[in-house]
Amino acid sequence: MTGEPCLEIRNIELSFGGVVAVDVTEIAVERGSIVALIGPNGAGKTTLFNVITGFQRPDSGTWLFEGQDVSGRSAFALARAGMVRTFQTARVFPRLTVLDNVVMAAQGQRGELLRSALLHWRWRGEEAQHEARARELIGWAGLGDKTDDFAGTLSGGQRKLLELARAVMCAPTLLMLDEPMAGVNPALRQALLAKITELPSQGITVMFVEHDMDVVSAISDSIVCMAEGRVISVGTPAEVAADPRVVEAYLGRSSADLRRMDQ
Amino acid sequence: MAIDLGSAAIDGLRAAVSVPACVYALAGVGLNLQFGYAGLQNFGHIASGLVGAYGAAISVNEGLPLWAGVIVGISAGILLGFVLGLPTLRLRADYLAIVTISTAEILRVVINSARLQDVTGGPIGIDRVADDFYAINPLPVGRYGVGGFSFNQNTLWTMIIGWTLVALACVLVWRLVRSPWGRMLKAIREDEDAARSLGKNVFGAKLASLVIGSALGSMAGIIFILDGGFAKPEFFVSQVTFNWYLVVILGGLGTILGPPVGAVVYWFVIAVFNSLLTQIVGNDGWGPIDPTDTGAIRFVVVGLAIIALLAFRPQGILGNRAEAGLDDR
Amino acid sequence: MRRHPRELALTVMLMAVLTVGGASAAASQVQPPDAGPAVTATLTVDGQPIEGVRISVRRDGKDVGEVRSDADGLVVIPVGEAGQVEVTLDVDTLPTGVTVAKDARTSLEPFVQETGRAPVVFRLVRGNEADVSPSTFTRLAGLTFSGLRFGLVIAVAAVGLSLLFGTTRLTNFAHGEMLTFGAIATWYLNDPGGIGLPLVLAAIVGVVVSGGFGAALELGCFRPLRRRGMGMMSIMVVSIGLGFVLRYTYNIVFGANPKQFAQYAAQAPTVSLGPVDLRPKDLIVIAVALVVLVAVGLFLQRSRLGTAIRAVSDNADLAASSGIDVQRVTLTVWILAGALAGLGGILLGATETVSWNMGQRALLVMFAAVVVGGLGTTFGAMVGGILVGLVSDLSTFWLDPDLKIVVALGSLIIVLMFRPQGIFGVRERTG
Repeated sequence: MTGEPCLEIRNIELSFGGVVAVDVTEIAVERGSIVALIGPNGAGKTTLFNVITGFQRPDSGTWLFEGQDVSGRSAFALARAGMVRTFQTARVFPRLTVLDNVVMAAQGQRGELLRSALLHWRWRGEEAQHEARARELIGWAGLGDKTDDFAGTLSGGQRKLLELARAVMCAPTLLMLDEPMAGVNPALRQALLAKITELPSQGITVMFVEHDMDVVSAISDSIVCMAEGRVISVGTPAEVAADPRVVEAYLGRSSADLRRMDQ
Repeated sequence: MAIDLGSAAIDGLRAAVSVPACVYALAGVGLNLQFGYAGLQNFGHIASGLVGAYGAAISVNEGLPLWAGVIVGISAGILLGFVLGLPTLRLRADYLAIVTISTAEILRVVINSARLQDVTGGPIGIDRVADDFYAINPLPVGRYGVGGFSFNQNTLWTMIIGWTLVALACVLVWRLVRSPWGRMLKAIREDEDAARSLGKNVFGAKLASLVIGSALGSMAGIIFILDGGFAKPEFFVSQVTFNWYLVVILGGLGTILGPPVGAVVYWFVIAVFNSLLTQIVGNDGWGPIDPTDTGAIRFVVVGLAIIALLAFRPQGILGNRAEAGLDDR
Repeated sequence: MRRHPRELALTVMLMAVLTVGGASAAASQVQPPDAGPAVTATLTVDGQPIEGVRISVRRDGKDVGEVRSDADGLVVIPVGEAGQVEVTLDVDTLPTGVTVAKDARTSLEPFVQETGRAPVVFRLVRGNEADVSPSTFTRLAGLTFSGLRFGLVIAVAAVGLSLLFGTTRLTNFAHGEMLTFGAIATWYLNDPGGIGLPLVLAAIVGVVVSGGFGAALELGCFRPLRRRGMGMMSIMVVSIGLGFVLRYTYNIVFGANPKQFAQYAAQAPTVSLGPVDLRPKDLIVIAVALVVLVAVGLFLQRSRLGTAIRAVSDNADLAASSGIDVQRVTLTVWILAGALAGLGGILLGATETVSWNMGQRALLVMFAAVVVGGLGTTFGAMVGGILVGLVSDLSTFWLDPDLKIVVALGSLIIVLMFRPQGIFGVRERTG
């Protein structure tokens, strides 16, 4: 794990109405690693995610992706550059089939350009390829028998899996998962976890927000802990779990907070 | 009081295929792309008809041949799509509604104003626009058809060209919608942010829909003035946009054949209704209703129809309730 | 109220319809004795009546009648039947030292109704023709006042539009028709051939009835639709359809021709305020609008209900979980919006005329006011209204009057491009 970090945050600041939501300096995500972003409610994790991926503008900040300054780029441009995110509540396209949901995530589709859209011979070929790859990923996600159903008919956990498959279809360099386990029943969790750990071997760096410390310890290479918008600890799971500042940040929170639903 | 249903039916059939119906169908295809597929609230669609018609009319008035005028008109429609979309598509949806309706009104008032009368003809408009068009009409002079259901050669020629364009437009939209671009548009309509997270250029797709729809609207405006050969600002008032909304919703939002079906049904029903109402009200009125009120009654009916459709059958004639998705919009 | 909303809605609507319908029915039956259509004028200069001036009336190029003003400066010319006529003042018959004001017309085209007298106003001033040219300053000052007056009236009506958007997220395209309702209802209450209330009293009742109209729209139309799960975009299109229905119903019932209130219709500009001469009603309208705007502002800031309204505007879910009855707040906002829009219509009708489509013409200006000031902020609607009114009236100094709407809408578009949240709005999260 040498060389340039995949994602490097130099400094990001964002406040709402006088309250500091995010005030982060120096986070580096190594290529090929799995990094967990943890912290109690309101620590600013999802907000940080939103800022990095272009869904929210910070008051000020600089961050680099694959060595390039991407601060201020729009969300879709970042996704095209290889930084793909998922959402806390799985945002699948309910009135598209599972297959369509995944196929459409393919990048660089010529058929999506207006000038080629009407000339079907220009995209028939690539469409067939994308479809094959999509079916592969749907199988990998364990949703094979739902391929032709509308995504709206899927359960919450299944939607999370679909969202994951769809995100991987983008062939991302950095995959940012916002609470990938939220709403997933325990039976599916292991499956989901296993899939996430496979990703680095496919060349994908993973950064994810999570509350469940067991999950986090099991699969992460390193952990970043936030509280009240700031980073309070960085290190391996063992180091962070032992860090008194982290324990203090979580003290006084009911266990329900650590597994909860909203943000 | 004897009511002649037969002549009312003939009036209806005639209106259902005549030029206004195909104009509404063509403009409807454009609006359906913008609103039905892309989810854009364009309340100024009549403006595309206005710039198309006047682009052509002013060109002809200034001495250009009609074919050049048509190019000018359609280019104006495309330009209008960009002018409307570039500043507003990044804003909230309601703002697009307000800006489009404002722009349509601005354009109409400017064209209507006395100040620019030399160029635009002001409230009187421009005539003799379609001479070139009639000149290439292959149909010999005469009336075609049976009894009340008949048209003169120029109107029939316009109808043929118009409905052909409607068919072509439907094919165009059909191919677009079935392509990856169309799938992307559908996804954008479902969840914009999710589409962005997958690298889709949401702004570009919406702008393209707006521009294509506007181009179709401008063609509709040109066909409309080819029928009589003259353009007047009063043809392009805001109310017409909402007649078009009714047509598109009636036919079925987000379906390919919805707009032509909606246009045909709309004109049939309106014409029959008008015909019957005129017979009933006659010259002396009927109860509290005067002969001069029939136009107003028609608008009341249009308004009620829009409300009733949206409340009870938002998918229209051809649509599919689950697909129509009007429940979340 | 909670258990039988539909009944309440029907009752209120019925009351409104009966009031208006009854008045019009009465009006069409009773005819005062010598109410044949006629043109009237009062010729004065600085408040002094002028005698002996010849006023003639023509219709379609044919002479209908002519009369010389009497000792009170009064002129009454019966015209035989209703319709449009041309009334001309013979400047040669003006006494020396009196002339027509610059830019004032010597020939007017009023529409005379069947049962009424059409007042016309010829503006006369002392002096010779040569030196009667209002200076640029005077003209601008005059336009400032008329712009302020128009802007305040628009602001009064637009506040309701902004509140509705804030609390229900609905861009109400039928708002113009709520404005027209107030004017028309008051006209019927005021009509001397009908109920014949004096204008001020009719106006008060009109405002109350307008509030009821707003409640009826919410209870009879929008609430049931929201309950069925209809999305906001569709409800907006429904409001457009509703606008059609109302507007053309007004056309059928009230008629296509503009009418005026029975009192204060033609007033001479007798109030001198520095360089401008105002009609007394202009001042009253400005005063009423200002008072109402301040009152609404105080209500929203200080009262419990007002605070609840603001809470729902900011965040409906949060407000609901704090125990605020969102449905009740919504109904209150509709009543308030209805009353304010109705008042706006009455003020507009008093300064200009009452017509079936007056609200439709005002709607776009109201949108401009709300957008410029900031969609969802009440203070913004007030300031936006005043600004848009001022800018569009002042623009007539350089541009044709029929382009006023272009200026108002142009401002809307420019503001949206450079500062979409308006002057007082809050920047939305960009996607």
